[in-house]
Amino acid sequence: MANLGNALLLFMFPLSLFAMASGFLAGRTKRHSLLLAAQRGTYATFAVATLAVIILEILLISSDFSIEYVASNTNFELPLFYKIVALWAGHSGSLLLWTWIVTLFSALVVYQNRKRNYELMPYVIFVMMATTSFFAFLNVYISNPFATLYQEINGTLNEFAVADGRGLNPLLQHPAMVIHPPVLYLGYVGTVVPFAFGLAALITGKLGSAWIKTTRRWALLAWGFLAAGILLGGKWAYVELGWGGYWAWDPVENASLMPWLTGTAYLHSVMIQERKGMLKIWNISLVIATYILAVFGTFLTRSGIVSSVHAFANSGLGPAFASFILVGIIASVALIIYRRKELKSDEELDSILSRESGFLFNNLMFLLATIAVLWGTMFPVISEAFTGEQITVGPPWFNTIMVPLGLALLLLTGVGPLLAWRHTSPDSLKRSFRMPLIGSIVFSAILMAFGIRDGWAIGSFAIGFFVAWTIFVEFLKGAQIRMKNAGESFLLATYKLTMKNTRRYGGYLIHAGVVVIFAGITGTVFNTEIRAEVGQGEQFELGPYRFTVDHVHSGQTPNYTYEHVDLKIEKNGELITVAKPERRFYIASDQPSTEVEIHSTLREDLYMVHSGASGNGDKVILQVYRNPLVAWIWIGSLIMILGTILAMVPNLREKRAATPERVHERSEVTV
Amino acid sequence: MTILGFILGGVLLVWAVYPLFKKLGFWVSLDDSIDTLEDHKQRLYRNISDLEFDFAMGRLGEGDFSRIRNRFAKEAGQVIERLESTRDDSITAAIDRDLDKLGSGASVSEEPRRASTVKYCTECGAENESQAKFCISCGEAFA
Repeated sequence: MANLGNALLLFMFPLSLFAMASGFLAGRTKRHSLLLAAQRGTYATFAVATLAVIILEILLISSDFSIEYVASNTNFELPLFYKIVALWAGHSGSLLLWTWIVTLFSALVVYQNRKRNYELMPYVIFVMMATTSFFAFLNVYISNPFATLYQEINGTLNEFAVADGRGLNPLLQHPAMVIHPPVLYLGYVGTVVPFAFGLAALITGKLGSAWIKTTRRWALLAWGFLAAGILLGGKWAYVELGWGGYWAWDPVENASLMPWLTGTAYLHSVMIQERKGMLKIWNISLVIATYILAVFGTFLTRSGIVSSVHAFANSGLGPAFASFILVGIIASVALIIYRRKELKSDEELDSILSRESGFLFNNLMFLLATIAVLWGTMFPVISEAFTGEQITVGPPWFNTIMVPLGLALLLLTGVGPLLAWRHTSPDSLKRSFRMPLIGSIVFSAILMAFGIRDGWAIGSFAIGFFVAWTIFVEFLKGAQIRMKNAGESFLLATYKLTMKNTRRYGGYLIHAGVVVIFAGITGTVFNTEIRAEVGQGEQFELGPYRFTVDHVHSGQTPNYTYEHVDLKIEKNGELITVAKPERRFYIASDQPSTEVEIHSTLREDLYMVHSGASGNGDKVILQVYRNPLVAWIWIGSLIMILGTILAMVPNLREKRAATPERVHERSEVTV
Repeated sequence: MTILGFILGGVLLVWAVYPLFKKLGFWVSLDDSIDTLEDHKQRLYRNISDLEFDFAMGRLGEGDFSRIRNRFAKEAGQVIERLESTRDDSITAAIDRDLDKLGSGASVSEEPRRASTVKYCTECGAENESQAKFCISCGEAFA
């Protein structure tokens, strides 16, 4: 079976090279035969990659321990579910999944555009298949998931199989693990589509709106998957890592955040290009940066460069990725310089009081945030390279920079919709600002009256209130106009208003999700925790909660041994629940793991960790965190994802006269 | 198993390479200026739509609204006029170019042809009536 997989992998590399070359030549010669060959080459590469993934899954499920990847990432007793997801538990499997997603997206793009965008498509195929070739090369020559185990007997190498595998990393044995990596990969890989179209536009000089229109939904899709992947990663870290938090400015987390930041900047600034023909170089640079940062993110995760420069140099993957990224940057910059005259702006900024200038500030903030995260992530590598000593910048450094930037961006989220395109009348601006501003000042006063004194927290809640107000008013005003104008009920008017411009209102919904997420994150300011060494029947307290150790149970499953504590939680003398924080010891991988117990309410989470036994073993060590508002992060995430889906839905078509846009023609209606 | 892999991969490779041995002709694109003008027109429409919405939502005064809207409407009118004349010129030029190429023996298809009486199959390059739903040569369905 592994031989079949290997043979298919061997074909994936030349097939993608063939499609890449045919695409390039088709672009040069405009020959249909070459374009058709490039299209078929893309489909064939996808077919081969799909078969390779299926074969690796069969090997994982059937526990074929003659395969190094299977032996390193699974064991006999591992539940079937985790055997399947072990596809993305290790280096070579992850890379195969990456490659498969590139081929899937390439095939979808080729099919979607099989009868249009003739000028761009040859080069789009060229770029996408160049990416595929690179990953296929890594899969075949550097990190092959079908590599078999060998042992030396009497001077000759022989294939052999181990009796049982080393098992799946315990940290990965969690349901969120099932979707977090593939969702994030879909986001990373999705950035290749706008990149390929952008580069094709630069190569052909067809720098009009075609490439932007064609990739609008792809860009949004990639952005949505990246956002969902990052948030799922946070959720996984929260419930699985057992340190009480969801974000630690870890290099791998930062790696996924960077393309998201530049992608978000692009989704905003492209609106200026669509309306004013401005920022063409900036937008194409953001598309390129997003893709390069996505590849860079994979590189950071897979090469181990941040843990050690030496590991990077020795892994083989590192130098290959570095070369690929370098070629991508050089080619992109060269093309932008070559086309610089055609990329000149068609218009200029009309007024500083305009939506455009709001977006420019927004872009500046996102750029600063990206640079800060990049610098902080790479600082250990840079310091090690120059001084031989690894100096790490921790969460306080990131928080000092990112908290003010984040709040400034949140504020812009509220201010932006109050500004008109091109020029906003100062009077109308004053009118629009007055009520939300007064509202947020009153809200701050109420928070202070309730005893909140932390300046950052009050600032964050007040800005969030301001933004929520402006979003609410946007929906309300729009609906009111429709109600008067078309005689619709409030619900119907809101529905039609939203569906008629899904991009605008989907965007607002995403902003609403961001407000809710910020509120959840702000809860961190009020976190409290306690560490207790307690025996059976003993108690400890945290805030209004009393915890009592009821029983300590231990047992064994085929996969691990465990010990869990029945922990009674009472508040004001009333029993709330009996939590069961657990400590496991995985047999195959010989590793301990904690299974956190979280009692979650909208107000706060009680996060309980069984950290082990105390010195003589008669007591357990329990770490309990009281984390306010965390649930709102996950609620906000869902709102954000819904908003993204809404923004991708095609607009509802109806006669223009019934919409708020035409209201100025009806003298009886004023807003 | 290795042989099966090579057969599968080989078949796919042959399927991908096969079109290179067929004569399917070329595609020719119309003048870029049409796309540029079309983009400009769409941009102006979008601006007018935004302007109307912003006015309805009370973000700009009536004076600003009328002034900017009139400017856009006038500009849109000019763009439409230029678009019409460029489109006519471009189609004539494209037809002449095609006829020249046909005279030299090469078959030609044109992707963005907007007012032609014939169309060319994207699969096999055969010439078809503009109203045809399927290619007379290979049976490919026309979009």
